Amino acid sequence: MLQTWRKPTRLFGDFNTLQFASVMSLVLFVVLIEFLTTPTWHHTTAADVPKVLHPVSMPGAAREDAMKVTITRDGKVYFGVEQVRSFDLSQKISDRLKDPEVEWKVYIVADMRARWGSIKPVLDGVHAAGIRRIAFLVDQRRSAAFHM
Amino acid sequence: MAFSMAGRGASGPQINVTPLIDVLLTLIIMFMLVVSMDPEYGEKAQIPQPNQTETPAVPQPRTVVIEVVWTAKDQPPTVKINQEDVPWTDLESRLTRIYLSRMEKVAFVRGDADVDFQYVADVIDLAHHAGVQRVGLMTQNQTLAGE
Repeated sequence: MLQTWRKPTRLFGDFNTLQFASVMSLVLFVVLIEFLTTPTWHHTTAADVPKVLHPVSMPGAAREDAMKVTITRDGKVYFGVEQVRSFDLSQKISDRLKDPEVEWKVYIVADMRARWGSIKPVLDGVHAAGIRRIAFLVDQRRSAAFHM
Repeated sequence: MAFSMAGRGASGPQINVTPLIDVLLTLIIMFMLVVSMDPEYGEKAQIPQPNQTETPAVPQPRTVVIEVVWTAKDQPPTVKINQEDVPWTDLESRLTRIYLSRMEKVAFVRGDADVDFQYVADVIDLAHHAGVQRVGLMTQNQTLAGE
C-alpha cells in the first residue's frame, strides 16, 4: 500500500511580537520627533510668530488649501513653501483663487522680528489680488508681561 | 523514569512584549490626536483701500488711527492714538473707553517701517480685546480724514 507523506498539520499561530514591538517603537519615535519639531502651523516655512494675549481660534488656517504667506525675519516671502517676490505674490494668489473651493482669505505667518516695512508690500500684494480679509497667525502668550 | 518537557533544558527568560505594544499603540494614538487637534490662533485684520477718486465731503472726526512709532534700535516703539502719545500699559483701557459708546467699532493701524511686527501684532490684539471689531491696516502713508 502506497503511503503518501503528509506535511504535519501544525498551525502557525506564533506571532513574533518582538519584531512588531520594534517596528512600533520606531513609529513612535518618528511621531515623537515630528511632534516636537513641527510648529503650530503647517505647510509653511519657519517663522517665529508673535505671541499675543488674546488670540482667536483660526480653524480655517489648518485647511490643506489655506493660502499662507510667510515672512521670515530677514524679509523673505514664501507663498506656501515657495519663495516669491512681493510683487509676484498678487499673481500667485490670483492663480490660486481660480479654484472655487479656496477661501478668500490669506493667512500671514510673519516672524515677530520681521520689520513692518517688509510686511507692508506683502499686504499690498494680497490686496492687489482682490483680498481684503487677512489673518496673522500668532501664538498664545501665557504671561501678561508687556513692553514698557 | 525521567520526564522531559522539551528535551532542550530550561528556556531562557523572555520579556512579555504584549503590554509593551499596548502602551506603544496608546502613545502613538495620543500623539497623533494631539498633533491633529493642535489649534491655530490668529488675529483678524483687513486691508482697506482708500478711494482715490472720491474724497469724503464731510470729515470724519471719529476715525481712530493707532500709530506704532519707531524710537530707537532695541527700544520698544511708542504708540499713539490719533497723534496722542499713549503708554503701552494704558492702550487697552484707552481704546475700551473710546469704543464703549461707539456703534462703528473700526480702528486703523499704521506702523513705521522699522518697527518689529511683534508690536503691531500686540496693537491689533489689544484693539480687538478692547472691543474693536474691524482693524484696518494702513500700508501706505496716507492720512485719513479726521485724523
